[in-house]
Amino acid sequence: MNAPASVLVVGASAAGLATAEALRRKGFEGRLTLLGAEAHLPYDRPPLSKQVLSGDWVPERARLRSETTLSELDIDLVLGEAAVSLDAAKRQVKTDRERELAADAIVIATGVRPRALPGTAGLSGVHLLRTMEDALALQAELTASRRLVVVGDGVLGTEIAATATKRCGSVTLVGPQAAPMEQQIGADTAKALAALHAERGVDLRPGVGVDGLVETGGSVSGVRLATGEVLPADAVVVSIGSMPATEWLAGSGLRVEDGVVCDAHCRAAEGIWAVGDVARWHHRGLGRSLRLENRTNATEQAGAVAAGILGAAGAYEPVPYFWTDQFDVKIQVYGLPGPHADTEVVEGDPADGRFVLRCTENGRVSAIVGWNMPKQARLRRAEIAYA
Amino acid sequence: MAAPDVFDQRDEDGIVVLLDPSPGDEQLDAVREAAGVCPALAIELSETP
Repeated sequence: MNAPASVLVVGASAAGLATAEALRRKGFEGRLTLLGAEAHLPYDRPPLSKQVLSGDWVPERARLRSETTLSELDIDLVLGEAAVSLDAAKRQVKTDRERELAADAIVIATGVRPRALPGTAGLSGVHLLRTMEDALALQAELTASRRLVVVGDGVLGTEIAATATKRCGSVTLVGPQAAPMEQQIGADTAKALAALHAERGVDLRPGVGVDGLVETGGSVSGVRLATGEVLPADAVVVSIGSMPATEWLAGSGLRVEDGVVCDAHCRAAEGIWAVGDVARWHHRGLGRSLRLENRTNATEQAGAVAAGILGAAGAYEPVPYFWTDQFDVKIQVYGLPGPHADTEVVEGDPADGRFVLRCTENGRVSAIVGWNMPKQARLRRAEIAYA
Repeated sequence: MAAPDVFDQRDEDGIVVLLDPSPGDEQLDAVREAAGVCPALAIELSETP
């Protein structure tokens, strides 16, 4: 395939911007348009649940690139305008301002939307966290006299609970797993994480579902657990996962199944690509389709998509990687720690608060988990072998 | 790491260490790549002829 003369990237967050940057870095000189639904200049999301929520950073510090750097990219940056439909065959996108944008190649980078608890819309004191506005609205609620309940024990909920202890007198973390982030970091590390949270004052309510929220005069006043118990709350954050933002692709002709379905090259159709949280692509090394909601994948996949648009032939088969910072602990996870992996400490010592864990499944290293040993964990990434 | 001859990490906390503050032309692509993909946005590159 010849390199296209024009590329339209739909979504101006980490994955979309990184795709535009990678295209330029790899020598693409054609017309490049970056369309973003949010009015802000592109900003980074990982700080939202940490430095922005805690108040340590002003919002501007989360910007991905300065205005000067963005202007040097020579892109048509269209912000505050959302795509509402795509015609994949014509490679044409319609926006909520009735504009039609066409390009030789289109990159879908619309990310995900947080899942809400049913029946809680409009209830004061209930929060989701995805955007800068979400983070600032939640931050305003976190004061010493208030009780926060975090519903959801995945990465985001667990990070929010850790950050909130800096500002709130009372923080409770509720979730269905035996320990927070068990699915993402494995049972052993999750146990260590639970101990850390408990030690720092988070009230953990593991292994329990949430029935619903309790309302008093239009505001949330509690969280009702499946056991019938009600946890009193002045504010509630719901972080129970997210859904790929693919509604706008209805009728596009693309296959959407929990993400935009792509081949091993992250291509959804001729001239149409997907990148970041929204992309479900075939990972050849793992032999299955995968959709990763993390910051590192946004950048790495952007590089692969940009290369693919410019004609490179390689499939995208990364070792998945994410990190989380909670209290004074940095956790790094390479690969996918499955629930049935055998684990072994290969560096450091959990008793000293620094270690690297190796997870093995079916005789193969499936994951490396670092706890306050970022460099040592990275150096062991090469032990994870696919194929 | 995208440019192992130019950057390393500290053993104790993983903070990036600059090994070569003015890398040669042969490192330019690798350093541009590193600046582009660094998740902490910690790398600023100034190019002078």
